[in-house]
Amino acid sequence: MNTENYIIAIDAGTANVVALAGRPTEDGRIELVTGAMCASEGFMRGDIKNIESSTKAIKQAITDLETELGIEISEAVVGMSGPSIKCRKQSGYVFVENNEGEVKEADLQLLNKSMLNAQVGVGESIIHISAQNYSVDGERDIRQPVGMMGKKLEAEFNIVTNDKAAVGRIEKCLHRVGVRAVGYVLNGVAAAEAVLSEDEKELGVVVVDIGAGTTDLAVYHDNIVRYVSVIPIGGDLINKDIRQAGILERCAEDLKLRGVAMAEYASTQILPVSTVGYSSKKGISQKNLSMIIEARLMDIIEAVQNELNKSGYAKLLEGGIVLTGGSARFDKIDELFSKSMKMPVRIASSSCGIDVGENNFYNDLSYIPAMGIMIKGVKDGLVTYTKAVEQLEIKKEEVKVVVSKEEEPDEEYQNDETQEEETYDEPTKKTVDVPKKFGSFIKNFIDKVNGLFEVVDEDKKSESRNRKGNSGYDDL
Amino acid sequence: MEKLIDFDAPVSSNSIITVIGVGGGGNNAVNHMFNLKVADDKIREDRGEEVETDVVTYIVCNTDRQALEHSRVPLKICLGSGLGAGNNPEKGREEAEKSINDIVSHFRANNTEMLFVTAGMGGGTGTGAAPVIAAAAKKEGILTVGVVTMPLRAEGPKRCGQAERGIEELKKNVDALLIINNENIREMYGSLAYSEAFKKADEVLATAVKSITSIIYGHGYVNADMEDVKSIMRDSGVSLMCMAVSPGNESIKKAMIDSLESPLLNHNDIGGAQKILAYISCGRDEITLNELHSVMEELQFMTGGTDIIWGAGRDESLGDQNSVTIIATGFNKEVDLKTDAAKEAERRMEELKRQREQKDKLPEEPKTEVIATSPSRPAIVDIDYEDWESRPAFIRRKMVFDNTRTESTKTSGKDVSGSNAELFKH
Repeated sequence: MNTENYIIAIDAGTANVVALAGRPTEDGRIELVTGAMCASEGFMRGDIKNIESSTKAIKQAITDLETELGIEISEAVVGMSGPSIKCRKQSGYVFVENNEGEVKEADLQLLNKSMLNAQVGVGESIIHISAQNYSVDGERDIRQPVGMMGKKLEAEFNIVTNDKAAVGRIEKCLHRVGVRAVGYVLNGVAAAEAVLSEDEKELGVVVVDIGAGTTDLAVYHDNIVRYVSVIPIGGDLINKDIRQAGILERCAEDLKLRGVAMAEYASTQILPVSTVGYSSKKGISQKNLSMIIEARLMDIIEAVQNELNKSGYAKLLEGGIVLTGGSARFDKIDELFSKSMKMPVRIASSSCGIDVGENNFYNDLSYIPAMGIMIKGVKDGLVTYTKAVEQLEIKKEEVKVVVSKEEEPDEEYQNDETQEEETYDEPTKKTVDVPKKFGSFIKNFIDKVNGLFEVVDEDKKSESRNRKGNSGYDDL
Repeated sequence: MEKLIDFDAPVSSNSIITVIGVGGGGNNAVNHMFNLKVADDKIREDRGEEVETDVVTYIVCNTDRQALEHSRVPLKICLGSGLGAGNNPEKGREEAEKSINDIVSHFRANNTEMLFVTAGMGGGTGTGAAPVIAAAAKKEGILTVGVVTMPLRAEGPKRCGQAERGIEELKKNVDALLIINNENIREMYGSLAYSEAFKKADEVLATAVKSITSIIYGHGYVNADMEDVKSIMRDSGVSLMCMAVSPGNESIKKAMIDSLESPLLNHNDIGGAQKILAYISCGRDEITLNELHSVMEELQFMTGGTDIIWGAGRDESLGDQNSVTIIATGFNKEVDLKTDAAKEAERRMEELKRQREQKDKLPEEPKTEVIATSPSRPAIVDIDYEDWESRPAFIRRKMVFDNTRTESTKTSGKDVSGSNAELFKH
């Protein structure tokens, strides 16, 4: 009986749902074990519009992962995007707890905790906070307050919020899938964690993740998250624009990648486009195709520039722009950005923080957000418990089995069946004597089957409760 | 020694709703409403249209007789001897009690069934007299709604304390209470001329009354009446109210959500409201049934399940806009009145001390404003993403397509190979 413990990360995007399973290695990196990707439904602009469809899509990816690894997934770190995500500055303070009058690490934690519960607008939920600078007893702009003498510790935070309704939809969806989110990571922050180097974060950089439905960005300066934003424009609008020219949806996706980001670099060669119901083939010149693409990319550039202006860091980013995301694949897109925004640009396609080993195909723009989610999850100390399926088999003999014992179900079928028991809340009476250290695994199991166990391990119970809810905060 | 001025003002037997403005703030609000009505009537007269008979009776009352003289409202009641309350709620209360019988006789004469008592809390007259008048009305069985303002924190602890006590007193004597915190007015409209900004607070009263009257008197396709209003508002405690106007092409639901997040609600959640009164007013074009449904759904979602009384009707004066007014009552928990203003003010004080400007404000800027900044900072614009999404970028950016090489692809449909005219055929 082994207890494989994977870190599970889910990136549910407008085009694809990516689920990854990884493991921390001894030298502090993360080993990517395997991943699953499947087409996404029910999302629009990063936000869930149709819970049924999105549930199906996420469930598919999770099930693929479970089948491949022979585990049962009940927790994951989950990525978040959506047009209602916004950030602003808000200050908070705490009084130093100890009587030595010295600021300790614990006081920082307390301040962070109080900020996570800060009052925000009607219908908003805090997703992420990052302390911008500290003040101790009125002395401002302190980078590292720990060790300073003082009574009052104050900080200005950047608070990123999302509509409670939107968060509620994600939670509902995950609940139906049978997975609990141990924490949420904003897509922009995830992309940053995946592709930015520490130097870039220090110099000042903005990571722009151009996805299918949204463009997520995060601004870093002096190693701190300064600004996060979601622009509701993505690669899908490029497809839409191409379709306006009379091209079918299925052709648009393929055709798109044959254009370039800057029309001046495109040739006048005609690219054939097959159509339905017309006697002769149609075509579009690469130049015109590229103009369509360039126009929409300019939209994105204008929006990014505007967001940078709002952040106040437009002129402070020595590290320039790092582009990533499935829709950043265009040739010359870096030149288009750097020409328009007058900053250095690089395109990031692989993650520094994850060992993919032999699985090179994970070094693809589509996997980056999920990798980043995983990295951030590990950084914040989030743990997702997974359980190998063999354990469940033992219990089956003593359990009222839904399927008759004569059948020889193969592994995949078994997984499906256990899925059914759990997700659809069929109560089954279990009489197994479970060893103490599996207490928390069983707790998760119970939660799904309205079970009748007593939770043995009280410590683990409170631990998992602390992990619930908001994603972490930046440690300095 | 009460003396009533203009006792012989016409009594409208139609109106079962009375609005009474108590004290300086209350008088301003009622004057504002009354003047609007007069202006509206004039416009109709000029157009040759029929003047609407007034469904609302306006009364202004004050301890300061001189202040009353400046009002155009015909029905004026002087409280007590007419020399003012000297910022002392006790005096306000005493003076009101001297004139209370006259006030009540007006209610009876008008067959008043619903009373709006409006006042600015913190001073003498409004703070002291409003609860007295409300109590009397309630005793008559009149549905009493208070619409009051809270002073700015910077007006000092005495005024704020008086205001808080006045509100406590008023709460006991009204069926429903709408509180407008001037700090929120300042948050939203601080950059306007002060009389314009305070008029925004008057607007709240005007809109509250207008919505209720539209609900009762409107010839909406879906009708509601006084009993419906009473059932929502009877003994319902502190309520939240918001009004949203949505321009023609925007959804009414979005406008409603925006307004529910309005700082006027003092950052309180509408969640937990057990009763909601919703009135939707359509301009030239009626909203669709789907939109109506989505509004209801959103309310249910935001409150976690609630009883909605709603009405819908036409208001030609809205033009191509639609408006929705929401009054939410029946909260179990105490609606947070003061903490926000206090916190906000404290924050502001800290900033003044530190001499640091907060660049990012809490509420969202209204949609069409361009936020200009100092020359060293680049300009921020408000991008209309919906427009960007609906129109192709290459059209909006006026890309000129290349016609150099065309393959003969003349078909019955659109020619894709670079012909300007056809690519732009929309």
